[in-house]
Amino acid sequence: MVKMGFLRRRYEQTKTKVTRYTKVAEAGGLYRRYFVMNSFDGALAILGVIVAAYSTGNASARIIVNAGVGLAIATGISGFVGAYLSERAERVKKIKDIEHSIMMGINGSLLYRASKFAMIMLALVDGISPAVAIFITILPFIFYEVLPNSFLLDYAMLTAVLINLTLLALLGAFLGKISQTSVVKYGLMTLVIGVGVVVLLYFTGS
Amino acid sequence: MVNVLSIDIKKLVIDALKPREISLAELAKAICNIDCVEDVMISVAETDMRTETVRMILTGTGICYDDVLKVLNENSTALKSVDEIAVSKKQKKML
Repeated sequence: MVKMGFLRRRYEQTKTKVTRYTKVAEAGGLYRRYFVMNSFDGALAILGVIVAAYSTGNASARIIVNAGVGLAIATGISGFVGAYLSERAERVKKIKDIEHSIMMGINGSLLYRASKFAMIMLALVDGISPAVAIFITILPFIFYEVLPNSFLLDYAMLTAVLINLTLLALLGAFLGKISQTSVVKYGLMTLVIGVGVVVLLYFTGS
Repeated sequence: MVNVLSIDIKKLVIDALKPREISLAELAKAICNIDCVEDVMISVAETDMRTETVRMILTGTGICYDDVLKVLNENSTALKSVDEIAVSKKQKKML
């Protein structure tokens, strides 16, 4: 009971700190933007890999899983490093401008700590979101590799594509919710983009 | 029992320069959190693209000036000037 109370207190303290830093660093909108943008990138990239592999007629689950894992790692690292370096450059400049305006160094202050926190969080969001989208999409192929005789590869392909399109539609719906406009409209928009990619790659591949 | 004279700051009026990223509410709460600061009033005197010049009126019993400076620095706020200060003298009995 005592441990639960301590954990709950720690959780509340951490949540307050994160909310405070996000507000001061004005990073709330950036987290959402990076999450959607990079999840979209990851989802469309792996969709392209799956459809292109399928259209060759020689696809194997192992190749798709390996390609997916490679893509997840590469986009994850690229996203993390790219976002960290670009955010760092912008925030260091902003801190220098503020220091110049108030004629005082702000090392170690709330604003400085909030900026550092935002840099790292944005880099994590940028790195993790495409990797998660890719991993979720290739789950049917992983199951196929683990239990190869339980279903056909074609069903794994179809399931993966459906999961991916659902993910795209949900990302679109999320955008609609953020902008307080039509959730259905945005969801359909991103779904149509996904279907367009499938059709384009299927016909160019075959 | 010994009579000790203590001189306490009761009121401070200061001008400070803060970045716009730090909200007035955040700053006011941080200053009010200091021991012996009972009331804080902050008003914005000037704004520009990056900063706001604020006037702060702090009242309490025995305000510690160093603690106020520390909290201002912690909130990326530069002290421009101390415009008013009110202190009072009290005799305290100590063992």
